[in-house]
Amino acid sequence: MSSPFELTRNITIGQYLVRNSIIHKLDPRFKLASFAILLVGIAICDSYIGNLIGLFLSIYLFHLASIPVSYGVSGLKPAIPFMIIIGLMQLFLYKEMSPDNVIYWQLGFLEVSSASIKIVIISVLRFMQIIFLSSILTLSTSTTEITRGLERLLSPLQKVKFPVHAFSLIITIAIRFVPTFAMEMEKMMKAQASRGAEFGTGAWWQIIKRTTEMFPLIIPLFNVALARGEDLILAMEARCYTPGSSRTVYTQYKANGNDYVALLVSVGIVFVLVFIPYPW
Amino acid sequence: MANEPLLQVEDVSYSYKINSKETLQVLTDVSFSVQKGEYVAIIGHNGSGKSTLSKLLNGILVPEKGQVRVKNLLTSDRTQIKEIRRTVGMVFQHPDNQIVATIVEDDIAFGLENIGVPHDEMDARITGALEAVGMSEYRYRPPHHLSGGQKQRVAIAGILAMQPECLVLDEATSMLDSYGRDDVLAIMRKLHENGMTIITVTHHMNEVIEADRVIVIAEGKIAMVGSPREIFMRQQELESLHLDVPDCSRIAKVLHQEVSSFNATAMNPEEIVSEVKRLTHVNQEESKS
Repeated sequence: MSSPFELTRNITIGQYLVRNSIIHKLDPRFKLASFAILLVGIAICDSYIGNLIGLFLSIYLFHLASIPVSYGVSGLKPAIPFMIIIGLMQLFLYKEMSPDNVIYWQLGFLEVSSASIKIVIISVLRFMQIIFLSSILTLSTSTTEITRGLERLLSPLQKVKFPVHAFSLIITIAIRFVPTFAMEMEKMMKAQASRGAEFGTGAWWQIIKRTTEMFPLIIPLFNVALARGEDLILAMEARCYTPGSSRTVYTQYKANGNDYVALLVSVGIVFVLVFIPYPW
Repeated sequence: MANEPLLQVEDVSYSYKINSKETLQVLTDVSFSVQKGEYVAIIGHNGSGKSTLSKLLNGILVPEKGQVRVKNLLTSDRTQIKEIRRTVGMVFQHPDNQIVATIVEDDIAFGLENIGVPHDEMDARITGALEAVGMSEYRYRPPHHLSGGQKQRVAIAGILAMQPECLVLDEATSMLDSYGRDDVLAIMRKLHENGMTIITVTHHMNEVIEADRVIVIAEGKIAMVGSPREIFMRQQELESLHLDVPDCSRIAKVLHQEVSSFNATAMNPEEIVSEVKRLTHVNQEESKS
C-alpha cells in the first residue's frame, strides 16, 4: 500500500521496461517514424475488419517486444471516462446522410442510427489500438531515446528555420525535471498535510475531488519552477549555450536491416488497413 | 610581471535595480587579479556581494563600472563570450538546477555540443571528465537517482569536459551534506594539484584553509586579502564581519593564550597535533635537565 505522499516512488517517466527484444533494439528514429505511419493508418481505417486486424497486430507487438499485454490494458484504465464521454456524444450527435442509414431512435436533435453505432464501436477500437501502440513505444524506448530520435527526425525542418534543437531541449528538460518537481511536491504536500490539508482521500474516479485537492500546491510549485528555471538558465549559459548557434551532436545513430524492415512492414500494414475494401 | 594574469578585475562596481528609482549597490571598486594555477577563495557572509562577483568572472553579468578581463578578453565584448566561458567554467550552488539532460553522459555532452567539439573527440573527453570526478560507473544513469554530492560531481565533470583553464565554484558545497562536501573539496584539491586555477566562493571558513589566497568581501568591498594563515590571525576583524575562524585556528589561539609558546597560527588538526608533540617533547627535555 503506497501512501499518497510517495510521489517519487511511483514515478515512471516514460515507463521504460528493460528487455532485449527486436522492438527495443530498433533505431528510435525508425521506431518513431513507424509509429507515426501506423497512427495515420489507424486514423483513416473505418471498417470493422480493418480495425480488428489493427487491434490484433498491436497486441501481437506486445509479444514481439516481450512485454505483458497487461501493461497496455492498465494504460486503458485512465482513458475509460473520456472514452465513455466521447462515445456518448458520438452515439447521440453523429449524423450521416446516406440511403442505408437506419434511424433507431430520435428526440429533437438527438438521434441514434446504425451509422452512429458503427462509429462508436470503431472509435473504441481505434482508441484501444492507439493506446496499445503508444504503450509499446514508451515501454520499449527510454525517454532519452525518444527525444534523441525526435530531434533527428525533425532535423530537416531546420531548413525552414524551425528551432529543432531548442524544441527537443525543452522536452528533455521537462522530462529531466519531472522527478525533481515530484520530490518538491512531496515536500509541500507533507508540509501542508501537517497543517491539516487533505490529500488522496478521493477514489480514483472522483476526478474533481482529486483535482481540487491539488489546488493549494499549484502556486508554490510554479514559484519553485520559476526559481529553478532561472538557475538553470545561468548554468546553461555558463556552459556556452547560445540558442540557434551551430552545435555538434553527441549521439549518432546508424540504421541496420531490421530498422528498414520495421518501416516497410508499417507501410505495408497501413496499405492493408486503408486500401483493402472490407465488406464491413 | 612576465606572466599575464588569467583573470583581472579592475575597479568593478555593480548595482541591481530594485525599481525605477532605487538601486542597490552590491559591489564598489573591487580590484584583484588571479594568476594561472592559483587557488583563490572568496569569502563573505550573505549579501556581501560575493555571488555577484563570481557571476562577473565569466560574463554572466557585465560590470557597470570598471572591467573584467579573462586572458585579456573583456567580458563586455559579447563576440568573445564563448571563448571567455570556455576559459572560465562555473559550477553553481544548487546541484539539481544545473543538470540539463536525462542521462549523465548526455549532460556532460551538452557543453561539448555547445562549443562544437567534434563527435569523435567527445567520447574521450566525457570519459576523462567522469574519471576526474570519480563518477565513471554512473555514466548511463539518470541524474535523479544520484545524491546531491554526486550530482554536483556530475556538474563539475560537465565543466571539466570543456577543458577550462579556470574553475569558479559559486557556493558549490553549500547545499551538500558533509560527505558530499568532502568529495567536492577533494576534487578541487586534486584539480589544483594538476594545475587548474580554482576560485571558490563560499561562506564556510573551513573550506578556505587549502587556498593560496583568501579575499574577504564585506558590503561590496574587499575587506582583507592574504594567505589563510594571515586571515585567520585577524579573528576580531573577521568576527566584526560575521565570519568565523575555523575550529582548529580557534583552538590554537586558546592554547596560545594559555601556553605562550604554542603556535597560534596552526589551522588544521595535523598542525595542532605536531605542536602538542613538539611542546611535550620540549617539556620532557626541560624536566630531564
